[in-house]
Amino acid sequence: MLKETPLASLHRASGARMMPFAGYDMPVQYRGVLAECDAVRNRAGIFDVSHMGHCHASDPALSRLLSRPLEKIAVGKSSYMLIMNPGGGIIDDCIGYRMEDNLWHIILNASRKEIDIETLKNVTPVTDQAMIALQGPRALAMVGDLCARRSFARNVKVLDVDITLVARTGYTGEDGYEFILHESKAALLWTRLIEAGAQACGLGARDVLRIEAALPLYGSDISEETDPFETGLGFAVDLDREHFIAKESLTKKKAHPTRRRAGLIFEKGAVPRHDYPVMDAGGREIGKVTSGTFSPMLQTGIALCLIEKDAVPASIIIRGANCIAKEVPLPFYRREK
Amino acid sequence: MILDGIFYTKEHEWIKLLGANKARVGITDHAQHELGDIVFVELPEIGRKVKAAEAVAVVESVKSVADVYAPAAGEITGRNDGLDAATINADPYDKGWLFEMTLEDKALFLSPDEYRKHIGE
Repeated sequence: MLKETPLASLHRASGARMMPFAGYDMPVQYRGVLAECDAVRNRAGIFDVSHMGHCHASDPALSRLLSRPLEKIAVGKSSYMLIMNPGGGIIDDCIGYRMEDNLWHIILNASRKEIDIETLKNVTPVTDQAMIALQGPRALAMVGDLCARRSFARNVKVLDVDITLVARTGYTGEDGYEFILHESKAALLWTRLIEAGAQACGLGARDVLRIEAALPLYGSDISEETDPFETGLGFAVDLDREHFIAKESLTKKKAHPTRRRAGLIFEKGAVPRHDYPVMDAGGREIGKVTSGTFSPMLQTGIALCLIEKDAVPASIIIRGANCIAKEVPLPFYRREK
Repeated sequence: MILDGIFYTKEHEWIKLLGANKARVGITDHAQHELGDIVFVELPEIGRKVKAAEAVAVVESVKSVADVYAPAAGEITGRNDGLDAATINADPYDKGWLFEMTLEDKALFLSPDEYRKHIGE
């Protein structure tokens, strides 16, 4: 039996194409993936992300399991961090919001929320909240200037709907907000945002946009078999402290990396996908695609890859064909601030 | 949408006869809708001899890849070079045609009604 978000019947009524994801019946597209990406990059799009997990933490000792200490997050600010295992592998990526001196709100990936809560132990699951993301250059014009970047506001009204927490964060590379609100209010906010001109967007568009922005997806780009340094997430690691479960393993990995993240684009419009082999100019396999898609911004295929540290990628094998690719700096897309 | 006057296959190709033993082939409206936004197409080489039900072309959307199968044994005689991938979504039966070929038989052909039944319309 699939779980549902509070907006599931709204999605179905508006003709969204639904598909199972992380045990939930989720909208994959409404108007079409490319049209939805265009809306987010040029106007504003909304995403139902109510399948994600939420918990409250009050115990700073949890920092032992996190890539960055909770106490270093200022009250009113958010921080991207990783839940780590002792070997330096990533259990999940998450965002923590310090609500008060001794209260943090942490958002977890839908596919990992049960494992995360089991790992963290001393947290309180929060299960009555929905979450809607509004992303795009017109987001601020639509709902107002609610908080500074990487900050959040609590207990505000947006389009006259009560919001528990609004954060200026997102997963698309655009400016915008993520609204956490009581599940009973989710349909009202969704409807008001549509009326204000936002385009409903599904997981299909979400995946394309986040790959363009070079943001990792747990299970594709990061896992317990990858460490933060080789996946471009070294910025989220604070090694300079004593009580950190992965201090020893990560210190070694940082000093002696064997792999690195690489962003590749194609000359022709072939679409690279997860696990496709990445080759060097000599035809030797040097790694794999971790996430790939067609990029509407660049009008060609793009791939996030995990390859041997010193290798120079030259092509990706797509259905038996050697497709020439070129490494480019990441992210593929960055909005001029 | 299903057009009359052309043939179909179970694999969601359509066949428009161009004479006794020659045809133009594409994918149906049902197929383009299922695939979503199409972004990449691989067409067969002219002169290639193909078997019935052999994978001869590829249509790729953002989310998935679909093989296009020869509706009969024959030889590829034409291809829609310069086809914009999005045209297959917009106009699957006309401007979105994929390739032309000679036909050695019509064993795999479905009538419009048979295809209608096949996709449960």
